[in-house]
Amino acid sequence: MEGEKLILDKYIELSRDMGGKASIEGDTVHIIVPSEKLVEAASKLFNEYQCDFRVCVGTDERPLNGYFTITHIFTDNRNGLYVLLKTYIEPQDPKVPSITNAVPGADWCEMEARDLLGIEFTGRTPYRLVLPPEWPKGLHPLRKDVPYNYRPQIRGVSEKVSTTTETGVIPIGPYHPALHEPEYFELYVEGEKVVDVKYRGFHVHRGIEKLGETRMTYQQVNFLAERICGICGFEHSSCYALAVEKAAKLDVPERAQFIRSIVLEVERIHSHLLWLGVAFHVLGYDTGFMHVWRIRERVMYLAELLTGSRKTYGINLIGGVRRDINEEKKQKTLEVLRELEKEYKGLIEVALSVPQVRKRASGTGVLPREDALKLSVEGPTARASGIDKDARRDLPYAAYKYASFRVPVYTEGDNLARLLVRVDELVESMAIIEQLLDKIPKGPILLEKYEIPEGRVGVQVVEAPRGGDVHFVITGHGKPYRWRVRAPTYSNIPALRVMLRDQPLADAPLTIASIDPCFSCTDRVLIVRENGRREWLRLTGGLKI
Amino acid sequence: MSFVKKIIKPVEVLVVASKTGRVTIKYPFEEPWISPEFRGKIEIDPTKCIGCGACVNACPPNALEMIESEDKKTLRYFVGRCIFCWRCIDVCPVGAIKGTRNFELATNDPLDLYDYIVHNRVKCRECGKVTGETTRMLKYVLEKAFVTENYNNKCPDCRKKIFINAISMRRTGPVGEKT
Amino acid sequence: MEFILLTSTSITVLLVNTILPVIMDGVERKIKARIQSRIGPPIVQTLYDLLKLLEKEVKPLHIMPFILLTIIAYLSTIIASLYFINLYTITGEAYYSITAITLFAISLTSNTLTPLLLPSPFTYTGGMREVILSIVNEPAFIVSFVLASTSLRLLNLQSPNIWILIALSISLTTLVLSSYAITGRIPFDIAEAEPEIASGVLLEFSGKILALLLLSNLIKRFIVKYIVSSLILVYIIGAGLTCLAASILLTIALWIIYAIVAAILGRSRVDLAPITLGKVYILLLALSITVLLVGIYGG
Ligand code: SF4
Ligand code: SF4
Repeated sequence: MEGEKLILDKYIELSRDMGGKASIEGDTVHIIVPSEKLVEAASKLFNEYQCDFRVCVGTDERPLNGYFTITHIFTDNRNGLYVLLKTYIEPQDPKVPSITNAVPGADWCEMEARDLLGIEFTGRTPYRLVLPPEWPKGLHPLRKDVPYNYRPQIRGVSEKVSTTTETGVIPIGPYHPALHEPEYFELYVEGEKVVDVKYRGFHVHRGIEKLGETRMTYQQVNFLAERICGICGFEHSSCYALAVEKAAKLDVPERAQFIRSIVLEVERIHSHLLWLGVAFHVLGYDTGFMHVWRIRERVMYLAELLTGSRKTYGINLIGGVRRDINEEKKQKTLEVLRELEKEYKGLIEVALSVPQVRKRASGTGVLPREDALKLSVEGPTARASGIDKDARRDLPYAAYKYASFRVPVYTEGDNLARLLVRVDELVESMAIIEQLLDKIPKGPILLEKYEIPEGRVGVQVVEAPRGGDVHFVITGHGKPYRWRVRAPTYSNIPALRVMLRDQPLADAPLTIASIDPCFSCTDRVLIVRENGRREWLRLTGGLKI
Repeated sequence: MSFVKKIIKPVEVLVVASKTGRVTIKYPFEEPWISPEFRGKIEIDPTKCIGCGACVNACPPNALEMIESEDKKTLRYFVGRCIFCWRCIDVCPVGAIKGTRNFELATNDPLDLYDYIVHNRVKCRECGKVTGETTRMLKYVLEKAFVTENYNNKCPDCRKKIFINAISMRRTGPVGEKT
Repeated sequence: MEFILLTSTSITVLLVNTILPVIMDGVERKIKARIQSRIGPPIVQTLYDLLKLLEKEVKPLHIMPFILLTIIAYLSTIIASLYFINLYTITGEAYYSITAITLFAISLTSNTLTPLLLPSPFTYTGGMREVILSIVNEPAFIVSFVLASTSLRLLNLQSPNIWILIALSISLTTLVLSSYAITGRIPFDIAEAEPEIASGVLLEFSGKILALLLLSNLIKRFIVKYIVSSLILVYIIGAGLTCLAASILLTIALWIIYAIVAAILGRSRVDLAPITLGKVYILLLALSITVLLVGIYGG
């Protein structure tokens, strides 16, 4: 424990140097610094201590203490620590320095806080990210004085496709057969080469955070959280439950944690199989697509058997889970896994031997390691670019500390690497489920009595199939006071700029698909095009990286 | 040789296909593949429900709503909002809600999507004001708790009044209307 | 008298020829479904689709006359081409086959031009992709056809010249390869595939016009195989009605083989496909020409 002490001392020292204070609660280090030191502290955490930037959270704490706050969430992956860098902002004319120059990945979350809470960030170019263009100025929905059901009168304005003479414009979306969710791209092409992209997201911003903070109760939010994403919803509800449990310091039964981990892995398997199918479809290999989805159906059935639903399992509650895994289900699960593994290995070998699959995936959409690090990308996108990070191992939660598994890492950073990371992870996931089923302890699955004190902070990262989900909770009376969600695609979309730059148009669909984007759960993106012909993809709103 | 093998490999998908056969079914003419654990539409037993509203409080998407009127309390279930989480089943004190495996809920008539259970509200024996409870709830409480029917069928205001009266009687005799 | 007989037979066969592709498309879908472990649509599904499209209204385009013109040109030349192949299989006259292939080439050109007339960026990009592919494919198809038929004419079965035999096999390979590529199946369906973002040559068409285009595309698929079959079979079993029937059967067989091949491959990339194809064609054609010349003058 000597080493851990030293590491904690390091953070305490940092806060002292910055004229702030630090406190430690469990695996979370809370650092509060004055706002003029914020940039320095963030840059030190990010560059010197090599902490991983996850997201920033703006909060309207005026009813509590009269201030707005902004909290930058870092994780120290090597030591399994969460580091929260917080600063208070004056309520009149809230202004805080932007950390984007030091931490480029903070771009969107700052703009989101600006839109939703009205916090201005100095030292950067602001732009509207979340709210539609016609939304009234000065109305910031996440402020506590705005009722959740308030609907301003806005008239929709239709936007014209921008046309230029030098480049061809290909509008894609908001509805397009190749897109699965409403988002809008404008690809600027010269011949078959993409020279620029404009992206407009947030068509499906649903105000989930506001809803969770106002209309629902702690237990109900579990079900809402599960609906953030249609594919990896259980990660969100687990992440939320774990965050609240961490904040309230609840002692959740071990058996419940095992069941969570098992179901999380079931979800990862089905999600990766789904992605493989989609990737094959994009590559025109429909036979592979159909067969992958055929074997995926076994997993869906398994999920239904374990939880009662094919998707949106609905078994997470604060304090545990609602469905137990009995001996019969355990045997059935093992049987399904055995069959699945056999079929999967045979199938994937055949699919990867199809010449077009390999040829189109290798060498395209390259994301170099440096860019990946700077942008704090998540999940398979990071692991394919040589960043060895996986929250299941680095920040162990649920029952992952009882399983041993390999984290596949590739260094090429191309579409093939991202494909192979997922191919390998699938096998690991099956092994994890087997191990956990073997070790699952006896006992209750749900905490019957508990109390959630107000004003506590809990933050949790859960490794979803697409990367780390982050949930940040400040507890309140009967419901969360602040609930911040960040889906992994939120961090990964900026990397598309690097991947698509100067690449043939024909690679674009695969490259976009390769981060396994989930627009409905992210929907926080904007790519602004700057004038001029050779502008690179401005996926980060004009920010130079 | 290995080169040829590599080229031939994709053809193996034919082997996979012939081994698997057809997996799709002629739904709706054949039974879909549903596990025994599947959570489908719920059914509320109107004879058992006491109108306590516990399910309404638990239901995450407000699929269950309690509509209150002058002398009625109506529990409304709207399938269109239901997420089939069965939280209502967990919390119902009398086990009035049953889960089914039914998921084929499409209909031509929107009214089919609603279920109503109407309860009568209790009138206070003392002042005649309508209270929040339903008649069945009172019966349920009578069975479960040590209260007399005489206490039970009065509204909280009257109970308070009677209680205060009783105490003050013991001390100083009856009190006036003002207290 | 003989001419009337000939004409009536080929017109009857023509009817068969136009219905058959529609059915064969259904068969192809069924085969694909089988390989993908699905039940798949019924065999007559394509027919249903076309009939349904005929009922739908047409979304007018402001350059309608041009579009109609190119589509009618496409359809009529392609049917004329079919007619001449029938004549060829019955009579075995070389000029019929030459007329057929010329008409076919014309029809392909008018087909590739259609999407370029439209203002939609999707259609335009898709059309450009198709043009690039057909620039590579069509010459290869025609040249290899000419080479193969020349070799066949020169080939003397009693004492086969080994060089000519080699030239024949190479040119036939090229012919089959290019006939596959022209049908626009995977991996060469780049211009139509929906996941390729900027594709969709058929995007702006609707109703009857779409039905006509789809039908002509199906007939196109039929013709490329039919030309190859008749070329081979006229040589082997000699011209006549048996040859006609046999050609149709061989076409069906080829169609099934093509369908299986298409199901087990992925889609090629738009810039790779033409380049790779072009290289292969040039190599094969150059080889077969050289060998043929050696066969003629050397042997
Ligand atoms: S199943 Fe869930 S959503 Fe449906 S009525 Fe019950 S609690 Fe509400
Ligand atoms: S919880 Fe049960 S008894 Fe109470 S209202 Fe709901 S269905 Fe009726």
